[in-house]
Amino acid sequence: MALEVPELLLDPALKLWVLLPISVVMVLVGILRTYITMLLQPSPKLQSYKLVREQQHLNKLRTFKKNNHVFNYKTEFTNRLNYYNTEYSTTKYLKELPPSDPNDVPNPLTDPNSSDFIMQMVKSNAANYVPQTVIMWWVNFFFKGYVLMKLPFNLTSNFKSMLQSSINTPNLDASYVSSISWYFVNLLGLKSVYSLILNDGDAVNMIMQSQQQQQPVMPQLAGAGPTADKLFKGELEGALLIQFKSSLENVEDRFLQRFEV
Amino acid sequence: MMSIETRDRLLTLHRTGKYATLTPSQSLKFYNLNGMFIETNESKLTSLQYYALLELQFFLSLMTMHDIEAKVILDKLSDQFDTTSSEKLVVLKSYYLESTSTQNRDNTNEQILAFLEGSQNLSVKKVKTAAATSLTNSGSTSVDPKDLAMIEKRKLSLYRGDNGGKFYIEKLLEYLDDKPLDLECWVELSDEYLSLGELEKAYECLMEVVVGNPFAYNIWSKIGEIEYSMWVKSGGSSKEILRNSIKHHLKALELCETYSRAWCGAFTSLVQLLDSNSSIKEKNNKKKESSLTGEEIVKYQKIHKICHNKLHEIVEKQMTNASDIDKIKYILQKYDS
Repeated sequence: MALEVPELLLDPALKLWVLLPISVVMVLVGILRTYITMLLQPSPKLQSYKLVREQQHLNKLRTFKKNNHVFNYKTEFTNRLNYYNTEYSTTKYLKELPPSDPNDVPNPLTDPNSSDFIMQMVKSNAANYVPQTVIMWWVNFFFKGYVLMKLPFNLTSNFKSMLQSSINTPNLDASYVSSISWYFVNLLGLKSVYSLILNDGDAVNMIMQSQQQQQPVMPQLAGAGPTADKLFKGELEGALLIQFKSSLENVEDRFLQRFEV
Repeated sequence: MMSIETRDRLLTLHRTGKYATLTPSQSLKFYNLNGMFIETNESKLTSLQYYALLELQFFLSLMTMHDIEAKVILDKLSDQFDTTSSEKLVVLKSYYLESTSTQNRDNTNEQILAFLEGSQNLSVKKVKTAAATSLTNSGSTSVDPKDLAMIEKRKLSLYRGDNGGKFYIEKLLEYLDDKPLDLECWVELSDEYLSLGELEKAYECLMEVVVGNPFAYNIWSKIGEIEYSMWVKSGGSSKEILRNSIKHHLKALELCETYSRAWCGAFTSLVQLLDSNSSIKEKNNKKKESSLTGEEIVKYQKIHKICHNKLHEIVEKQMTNASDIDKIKYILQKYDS
């Protein structure tokens, strides 16, 4: 049976010299990081019209597959399908010709676009990881094992791992918060403070996103994933399997059902 | 206090491009409203909203003959952005040049085309120089003037000239080969084919639009109208085309029941279909086209009655604008008797 632990007497100076500095530093670093990330954002680049063309034709084929119901007759649908089959089987719409050897995989590191992307990824990761590592080291070095405050409400023991990291006291009431836990609480819960200070929803979301280390969806690097000609081929094969059904079929009956009194 | 409703309404006006179709009195009303809104709420708008409204004010100024104010807005934008890095600014400048030119249309278009091409070359040169001198070897030196998509589209509009025509169609086809998902251009191409009387091609262009956006009820109705024209062109012989026209109009009404143009289109096609079915000419027609069955006739008569009642309701309750109501009255007068 667990022993009753008496109320801890916390030095009021802890609030002034530990709790407040950690909170203030976290807020300031968060804001600073936002502006650094904004400065590191690359200026939008021009997209090659050949790439846009290739992607748009690929999307056109996908849209055709998705919305094939707009045609009135099956012949209209099959005529178009035959046309796409002839057009998109060639290399006319590809940005780059497919490699002569299908086993020849291009090296992503020699592609100038990939090196730009990798550089950008390194920069944004550095802007996120470096300040967090430094602050965590700072909190750990100076305030390790500190019990900072007692929350004014009771919590179950499940919260112990969240609120009392770095202090190994199994019987201590869960409402006591350690310094390193306070750092984590700040890291995840400062959104409303940032939105008050920055008054800009996009910037706040950017901070929260970068702090929680959610990486955006990565664009395809050279050599990774199927090439455009294979994508076209795949879409065409899928299109051949479509069971055509026109949305204009029985439109008169649907109309009568809706409007007839 | 900033009215969020007003802001959103103005931003929608900008985003949808609806300002281009306003009547002169409406343009003036929005010009005054937007000008006042920007002046009083500048600090409360985000930069994106501010520049969107400024762009709207630029166009409204040009449309309401406030050239000096348009120039002031252009200068404000030029202070913030650079023509070698902002395509939009180049395009806005070209609109200003077009609106304030004192020369004839052909000369003006030539001058603006030269300006746009010059700007494209300058931008390309700047991008190439930046890539070549970059320490981190970032950027690409293989840039093409065609990569500047916004300027390319603006150039396309200048090829239209006074009457459009085959040259313009060629340019539109070239552009659509590069940007097949630009539905606006497909509609433009369809209009050009229509003006040349090439109905089948116009129909195919509009089919591209509904494949891209199957909820575009106005385009469904337009397809119905083209089919009606095909029927007229064929001398009223093919009933199948007329039935397709009705189908397309009904599809438009299925998507948007307040679209009065589709009600008119469906009504007109139905009148013609029922009329041709009952006419004596039909009986003597040598072409053995399948005539409507009894069940179909009842169905089309019911739809005809619904359309007829709805058009009367639109006129009586003034459910659309005055110009549309006049057109509906004309159609009702023509076919009611």
